[in-house]
Amino acid sequence: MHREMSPLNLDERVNIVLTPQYYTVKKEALPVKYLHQAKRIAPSLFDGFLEVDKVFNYLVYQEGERWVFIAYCLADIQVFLAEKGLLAWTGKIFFAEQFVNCLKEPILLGEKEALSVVEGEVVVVPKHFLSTECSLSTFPSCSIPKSGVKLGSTSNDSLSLKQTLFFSTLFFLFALLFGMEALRYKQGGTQERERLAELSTEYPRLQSAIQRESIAQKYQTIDKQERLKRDAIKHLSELIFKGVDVTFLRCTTQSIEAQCECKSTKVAKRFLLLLKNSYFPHAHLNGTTIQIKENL
Amino acid sequence: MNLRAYQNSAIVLFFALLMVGAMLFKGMVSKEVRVEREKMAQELAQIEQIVQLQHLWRDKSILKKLKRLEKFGTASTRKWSLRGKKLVATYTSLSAKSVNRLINKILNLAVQIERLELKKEGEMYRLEFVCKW
Repeated sequence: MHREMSPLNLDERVNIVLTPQYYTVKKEALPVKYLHQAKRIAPSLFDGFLEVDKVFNYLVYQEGERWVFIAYCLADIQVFLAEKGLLAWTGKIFFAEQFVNCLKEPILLGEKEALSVVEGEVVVVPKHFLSTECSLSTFPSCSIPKSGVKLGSTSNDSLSLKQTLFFSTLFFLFALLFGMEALRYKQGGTQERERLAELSTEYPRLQSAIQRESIAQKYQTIDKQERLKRDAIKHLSELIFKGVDVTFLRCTTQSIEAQCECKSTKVAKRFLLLLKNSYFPHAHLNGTTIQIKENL
Repeated sequence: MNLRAYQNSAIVLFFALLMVGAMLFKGMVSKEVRVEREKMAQELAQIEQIVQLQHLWRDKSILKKLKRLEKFGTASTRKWSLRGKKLVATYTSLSAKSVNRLINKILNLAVQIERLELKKEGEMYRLEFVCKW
């Protein structure tokens, strides 16, 4: 494809080869081993050579010991292809430089120019510069180079289309997974909600937190006090053994009082020891009488 | 900067941000739900505790159970006064065995004991019991 060619009318997808009118080439022997390293330094090699207001992409490949860097403006190429009616039918784009070993003879480009290899590089030269008559007017059949440019996938991106697809799918799946998990979380706790609703219907007074708090406080106090009273009486009755007689017992909300008569001082001392080691540390002995008074 | 030149990175970045957003959303929802569930569990526990306590200390059949105490002893040794939700009962001439039985019965009733007084009179016992419910 060259600038002067007339528009084409195609009905199938084709690969095209662009003349140097649409790219800039640099060949350098650089101490880099891998393609991605070469791609990374490509923009710096063309510093000052390219128009600053355009976005350039780079095709890089190795040719013997040297690296070949081709800078091209995709926007310009797309405009050109659209003008020639080829934009929709373009498969892969190659550059004439990639066919440098194929071009044995110059190729005629229109009436005034020709594509020729000069000092190992493919260039466009005026027809009258050629020393011999152009014998070829069509492109020679050569093997297709490995690297080419596909419209829509070209960019200075460090990510290829495959990588983009892989990572995008992966991230999307994770996003989906997280979203689904969030929904699952939201739907959880229905059992508690239902039970709560059930209890609220059954006990409407307990719906308000303040009222609930006050009712709970009331019953908790009653429960605590009553259990204390019962525990104190039960403890005392458990400690009483043969020879100990309860002569007085009074249990109120505030305290428990008791008086016990013992058969002998020995029994009284034993009983006192039992009392002091359990629920009644303030019990005291008076002869054979034991007085108990504890606050509840 | 031409965005088209970095469209692959932009697409990946978009999906990465989508994933991060979804992750944050999940974290937020999980925290929200956890807090809500904790609150609900606390509320449920409180309501259930109140219901249990009410069931215990506001037993509707308590009067029936209390009336069984009325049959204890004989009419001459018993003074029984039931007014509203308050009971004042006095038992005299009780043997030690009867006292034990009566106190056990009283302690097993879910009433608020205001006063329980036991006094030995000779060989017998006198018991005064005031409670409400």
